[in-house]
Amino acid sequence: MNTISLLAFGFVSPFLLWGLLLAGVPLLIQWLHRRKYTERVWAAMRFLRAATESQNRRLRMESLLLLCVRTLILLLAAAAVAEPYLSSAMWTPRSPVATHTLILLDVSLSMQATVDGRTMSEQAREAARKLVQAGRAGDSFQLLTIASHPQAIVRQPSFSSIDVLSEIDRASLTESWGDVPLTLNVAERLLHEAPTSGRCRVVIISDFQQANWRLEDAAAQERMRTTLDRIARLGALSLIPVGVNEIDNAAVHSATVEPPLVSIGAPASILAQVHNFSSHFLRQARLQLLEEGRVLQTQTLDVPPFADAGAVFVTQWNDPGPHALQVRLEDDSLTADNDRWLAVDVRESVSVLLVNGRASTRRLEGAADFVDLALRPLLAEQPSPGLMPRWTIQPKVIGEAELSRTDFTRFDVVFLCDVPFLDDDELARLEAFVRAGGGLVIGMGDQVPLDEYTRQLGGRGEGLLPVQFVRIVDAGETPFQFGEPVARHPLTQAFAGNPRSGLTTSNTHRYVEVQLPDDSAARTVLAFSHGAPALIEHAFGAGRVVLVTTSLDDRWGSWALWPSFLPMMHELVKYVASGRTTQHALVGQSLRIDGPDPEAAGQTATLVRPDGRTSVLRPSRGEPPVEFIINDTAQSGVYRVTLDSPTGQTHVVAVNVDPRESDLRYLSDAELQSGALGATRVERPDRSLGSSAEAAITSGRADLAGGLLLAVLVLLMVEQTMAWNGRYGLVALLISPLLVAGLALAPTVALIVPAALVAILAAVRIARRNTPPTASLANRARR
Amino acid sequence: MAEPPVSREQSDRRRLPGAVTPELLSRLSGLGVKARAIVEGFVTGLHRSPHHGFSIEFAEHREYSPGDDLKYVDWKVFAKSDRYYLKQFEEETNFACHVLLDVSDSMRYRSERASMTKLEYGTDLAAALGYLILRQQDGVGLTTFDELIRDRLPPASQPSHLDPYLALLERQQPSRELSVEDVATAAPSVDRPHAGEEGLAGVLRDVALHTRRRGLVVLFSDLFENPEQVLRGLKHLRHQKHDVIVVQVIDRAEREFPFDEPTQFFGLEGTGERRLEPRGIREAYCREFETALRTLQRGVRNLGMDCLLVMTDEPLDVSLSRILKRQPTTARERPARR
Repeated sequence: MNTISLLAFGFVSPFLLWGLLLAGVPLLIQWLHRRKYTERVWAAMRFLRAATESQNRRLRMESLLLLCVRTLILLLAAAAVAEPYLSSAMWTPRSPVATHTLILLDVSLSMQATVDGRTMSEQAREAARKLVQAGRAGDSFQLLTIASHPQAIVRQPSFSSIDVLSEIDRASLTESWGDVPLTLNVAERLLHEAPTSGRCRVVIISDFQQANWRLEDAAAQERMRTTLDRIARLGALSLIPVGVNEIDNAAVHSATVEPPLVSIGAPASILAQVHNFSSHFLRQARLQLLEEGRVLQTQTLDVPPFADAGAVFVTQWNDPGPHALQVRLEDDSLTADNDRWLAVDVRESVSVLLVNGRASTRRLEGAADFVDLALRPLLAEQPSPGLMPRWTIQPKVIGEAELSRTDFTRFDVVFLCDVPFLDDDELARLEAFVRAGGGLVIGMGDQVPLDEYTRQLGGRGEGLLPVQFVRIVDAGETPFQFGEPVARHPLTQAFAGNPRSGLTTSNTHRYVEVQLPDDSAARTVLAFSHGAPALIEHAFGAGRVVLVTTSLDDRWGSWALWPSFLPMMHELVKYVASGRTTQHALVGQSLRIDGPDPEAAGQTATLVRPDGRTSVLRPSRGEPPVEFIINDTAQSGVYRVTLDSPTGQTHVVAVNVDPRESDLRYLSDAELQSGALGATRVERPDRSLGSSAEAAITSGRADLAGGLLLAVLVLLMVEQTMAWNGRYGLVALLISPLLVAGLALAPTVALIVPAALVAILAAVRIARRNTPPTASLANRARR
Repeated sequence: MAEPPVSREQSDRRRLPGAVTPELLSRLSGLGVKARAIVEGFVTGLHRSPHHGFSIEFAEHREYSPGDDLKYVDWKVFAKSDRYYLKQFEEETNFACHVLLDVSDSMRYRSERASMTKLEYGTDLAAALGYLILRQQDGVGLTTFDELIRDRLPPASQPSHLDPYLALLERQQPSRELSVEDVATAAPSVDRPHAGEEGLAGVLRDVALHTRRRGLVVLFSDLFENPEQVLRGLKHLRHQKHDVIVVQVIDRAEREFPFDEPTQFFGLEGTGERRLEPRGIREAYCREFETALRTLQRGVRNLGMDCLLVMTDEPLDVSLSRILKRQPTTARERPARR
């Protein structure tokens, strides 16, 4: 429970407070000074005595005041160097000059969290509204949202507070992740574009969620800090945090289907992971599996603090086609992350395209023949109907020459078996195919041009398979064998701990040595016993690519003849085809749907959003291949796209919230200063103000260093005046607070007025030095 | 009463190479030599001046009218202008001048900027004045005093009177200046205004009692006393129908108080000591000083006397000229014309 503090005082650089010891310097000087009197004889003691008797008390007072002023000057200067600040709920720094304010309003998912019956988003909006309402005539505003796709709702500086208030109300809350670095970049660009001449400030209204503001990547964090520094130089940076220290929350942060390729009539497991983001034990939490709003199953979970708990729902479908599933956790402070959506495309069959790079008229001499045989063994042997599975793999073998004429979108998986050449068009279509969720398996062989593959597939780290094909390695007399398979990977888990499966005993005589660059996203799934990669996978878009570094026939080894080859091919198909059958994305990510006929123009599709809104989609580009892109995925749920074609094919895509938004822990004040924001000078955030939007808007961090330096400047003038004339100095001392306040409110005047006053004082002093004091007195006496 | 204008020649006297400055005079030895130098400087200046002093026969011309004595016709003028003009002469009378010189400790003050003490300056002026008067065959006497009358030399007009006159003045010159140590270690003496006697008032009363014959009285003193007491003493002289010129000799530092650093002041004449910050007290001091000065000057003039203020950094011949012409202020102290 937070306490509301109306006033907070501190120093940015408290170690510099050692400078306060300087306050002893005037006292020391005074002490030393007392011992250094010049001695002289004097005749006119009568006048001296008379003068001192009348002036003695005043002199002593003036001397004391002068000493105090000198001490105060050093104290204030030392304090100013330590950069003090004052954070108050009752005070807002104001400026008489027109102020341009860029408001960064957090609309990410975590802002939907409810505290005391109000969402933090409501508090943030109210804070923003009051910020605008507090503006004066001539003030201008820009409004930018913090989200995965930051939106400059008010891009051009608006001088109409009514319009800005309206836009604040209309700023739609998203369920997306708050991409702070991206938002800050946009904010910096907006500040550069905004034609402002007066004071400028940037106000960030956010919950300052750790997940958004404390980046795991140190380099990214440093970049963000640099950006904040640049922004702080463009305008005074203020933070208005609306979060409290911690909010209890739990979320379904993942839901997957196992196996990835769900076949009709086969049992499928829905694995749901619930994470407890709070320090309290979550007991008997109810977890439901729903389909189309209908509850299929219910389980209860106990989730320890900051830990995961899993639940498995087993189900099966008898009707093929896309199915939308929902895993729901009971409501808590943040409801949007309690639902996890899952789109499962229940298949009757999987289409596999086998590209045979080495055609042969003889059986099992072609490069793809063994794969073809492995994928349809039952079909080849015509088993009895009872043994027929309810789903099938339907392979189609084509020659390498047919590659350019083949539409990959009709298939779920493509095998490239010892393909000697890929032209740019084929490569581009393959990339589009995999990016849209297709699976690609690449087998090696004697015809594979290693350098070409490195260049074409690598794509400078962004291609289908960012690896380097080095050379072909021959085993010599001792063949290579696969190493122990990894139990955790879907591809190899069936073979792990099962030496009788024959995977580790099959012999390989030749393979292609492959190097994975340090920054490569590809990873080794299975290695040879001596460590060289045998199976490498890489996620590309929604699909997957798997490289088999040896051949998929019996040319380079006996694996294709061994029992492990067949199940491995089936697992490969299931694994790489999963992108086709379970389409999912995060809120804010674009969705890409392939058109039914890549060559046909003028096709449309119908989109049904999670909230039931329907819209017609048009192809994103006029030329083939046809694809539909959905950019607006601000809402989690199931997006259904029905292609307007004779087949009426429907794609179901599950869009889920980013699990990072579920962690409702916020940066502390110290972290805001040192972690995310570094040395950036910011208005002090007052966490307690988040509980009250009204307080939040009136909060502000008063940077006292400037005011103190101003006071030092004024006191220097007072000191000079006092040294020159005690009475004038006393008057100057009395009006100095007014002078400081006036100058603080008018920064431009602050540069001119003190300089002018100092110049006038100096001129008067010089003039008085050049004129004997008795002259003026004598003149006055004569007058 | 409007102050008489100063001639250009008079003001330029300061800058003349032959001006008798205190610096120049301090290098001369022997009061007689000094007095002669001052007077010669003064006479040299006189030739350039249209003004005449009180002891010089004032000559004027007027046109001849029938019945006038022809022996007064200025024939030289007639030769040049062919017109008759008569020369007129004032009747000269022998008179006695009483010089009163304050030799108290306060007169021994000299600031860093000044080249001589007030006493030295007053002594030199008195010597020059005596020399000038005796050269005119008039009588001059000298009285020195501090709290009391110390020495007296009755007036006489013989040229040989110059020697005892100067000798008495020579005796007033201290062997050395008073230092801080001298003042600090000296036993506190009675403050002048609080003397058992009446201070300067008593001295002036005694002088008035001893100088029955009417004459000119020239008083050299810094007059750092209560103005009322000073005026009371001067009234005695006025009562005796003396023509009195009060010459107030001060050091410029005493008037301007030009000190900046913290200073411990040791009062001469046992007036105690003060530690203070001169910058803070300067204005009040100057105000006190000017008030006393104005009070004194006004009081002196009300008595029908002349009051002159001379400063020890001014050329002595100029100061002598001012005394002779009874010119109260120097051009430098005169207010600028508005």
